[in-house]
Amino acid sequence: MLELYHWEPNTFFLKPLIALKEKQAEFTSRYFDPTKFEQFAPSFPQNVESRLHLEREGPVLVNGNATISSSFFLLEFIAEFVPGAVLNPGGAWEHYQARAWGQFLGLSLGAGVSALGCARYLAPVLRGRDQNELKARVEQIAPQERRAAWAAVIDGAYDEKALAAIRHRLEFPVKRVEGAFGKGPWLAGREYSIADIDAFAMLIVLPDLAPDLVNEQATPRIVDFVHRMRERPAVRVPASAVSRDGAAAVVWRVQSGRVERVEVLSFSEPEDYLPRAPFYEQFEGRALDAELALRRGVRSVAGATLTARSTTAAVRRVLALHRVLAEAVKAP
Amino acid sequence: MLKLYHWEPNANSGKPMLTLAEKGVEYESHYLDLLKFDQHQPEYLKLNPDGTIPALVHGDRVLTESTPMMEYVDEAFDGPPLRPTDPVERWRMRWWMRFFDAYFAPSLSMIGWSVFIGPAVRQRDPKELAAAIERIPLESRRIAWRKAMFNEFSAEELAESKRRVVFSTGVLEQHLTRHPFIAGSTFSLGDINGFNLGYALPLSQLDHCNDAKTPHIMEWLRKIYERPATKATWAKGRTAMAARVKMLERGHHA
Repeated sequence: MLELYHWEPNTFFLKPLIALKEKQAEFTSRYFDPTKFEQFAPSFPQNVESRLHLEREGPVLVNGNATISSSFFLLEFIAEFVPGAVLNPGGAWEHYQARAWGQFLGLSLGAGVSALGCARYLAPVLRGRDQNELKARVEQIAPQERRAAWAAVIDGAYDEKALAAIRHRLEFPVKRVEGAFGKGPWLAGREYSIADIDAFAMLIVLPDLAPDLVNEQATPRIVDFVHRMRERPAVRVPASAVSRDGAAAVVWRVQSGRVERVEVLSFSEPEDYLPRAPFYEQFEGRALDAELALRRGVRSVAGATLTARSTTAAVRRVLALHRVLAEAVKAP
Repeated sequence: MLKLYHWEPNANSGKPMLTLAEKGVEYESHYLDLLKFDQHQPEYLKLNPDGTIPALVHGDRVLTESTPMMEYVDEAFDGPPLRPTDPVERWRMRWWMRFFDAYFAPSLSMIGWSVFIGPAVRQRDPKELAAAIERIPLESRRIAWRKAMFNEFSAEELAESKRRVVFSTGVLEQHLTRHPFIAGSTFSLGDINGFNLGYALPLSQLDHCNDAKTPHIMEWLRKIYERPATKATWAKGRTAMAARVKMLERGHHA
């Protein structure tokens, strides 16, 4: 059984979540919180490649004894070796195009989007922590590049000038992608492929992170592509939110800020503690408000209090995240 | 007929050259002199508007990214397979190619540009150089060429590149103590990529890459050098740069 170590469904972490859902593959979801440096814990799967982590932080797929990292290569691994829907259609030429996009966007968009995302979403979270403790923790991180990326977020290295320079570097790849969608609906040939999953995961946050660069006037085709991708059932689920808190790993669908559905993706406690359907159904239609709490609008489950508590907390977190991330791309 | 536009068997140009040789695929060779900016001439820009080399032309398909180009050659043509069938080894091959392309090679090439390419082109007329820079289509390449031509790499940039080269050499040596080849048990595109990057390390990084400090890298380079495809590919080199490969002869003494 594959195990996917992932954080919230954003940028690098979103890619394998979509691909595995497209494949309808069974996997064990291992949620971790990189802002708490859980990826450096001794028990976290590691090898030389995942320690060097060219993307700095990202998902890790464990397949038996193998620890697989680097998000585009995770997509290729899933496309080539996990049974299910074809995610690398065509032959050598289409595969070349997908890889060329993966390489180009990984090195251009990937680097910029993750830096802008850290400055926007991560820096405020880290500012709320004990700064001395945080700095001491970051000091222990190796290799140097990974440490420097964290240090940049907490030291305020991303000032307006630095962010403007990053946004400037994004102009070229954004323009190239916009041009490519003038030739066809998908990046690597006539059909949907891992190149689209890869690009989507990075493009989806740009209307929020670089609104002057990606918007309906400047990049109508990218905006259209993002909407088309969001319509895919496999994308709607993880893009809405995947989260985990304690015992239960659950997938939510969120529409207009309200929970559409809660599904159990995997459950690491004994089955006896798994609440029945009515427990999960009571989240349907709920928004992020005071009623979304145990002993208020949510009934607990006798004998599974921890699950009920962690599920409720996770739903709240997901809705909060959804408000920030998913709503950034407004429906036309 | 398959056409390859390339410079010396070195770095990015050498990747498809050696891959095609290993596969036993014939191609029409179009040599472009990087130092004369052949790659920014209008005729070549019609083929590859980015003005980068190499470019592979297969029928009406034009391929310009060297690492995906290698996988294309392996997939599109008969000949010995150059990608592992084992899923994990195949992933490892790709991960290491990215490490070479995105981390190791840029640092090594900054040093190469500052000590080799920069001085080589600086002997020309500055006006001619300025015009040559103006013709470069990609902003990132324009910046790199300008820095190389006018020796504008900062001391910090060069020091960081040197640090990364020494660090990467150590990481590669460690990797090769665990596996005989980049992907694991078999020769693959990962080795072709790595050889193009590293064949001259024992010369350019004499203090950090040698028989005493990095015996596994030395053995790996010599094994690849001894392959007939490597010998045939490096024989196509026209400059002293490609001739450096001869120092990988066993028994060679610097």
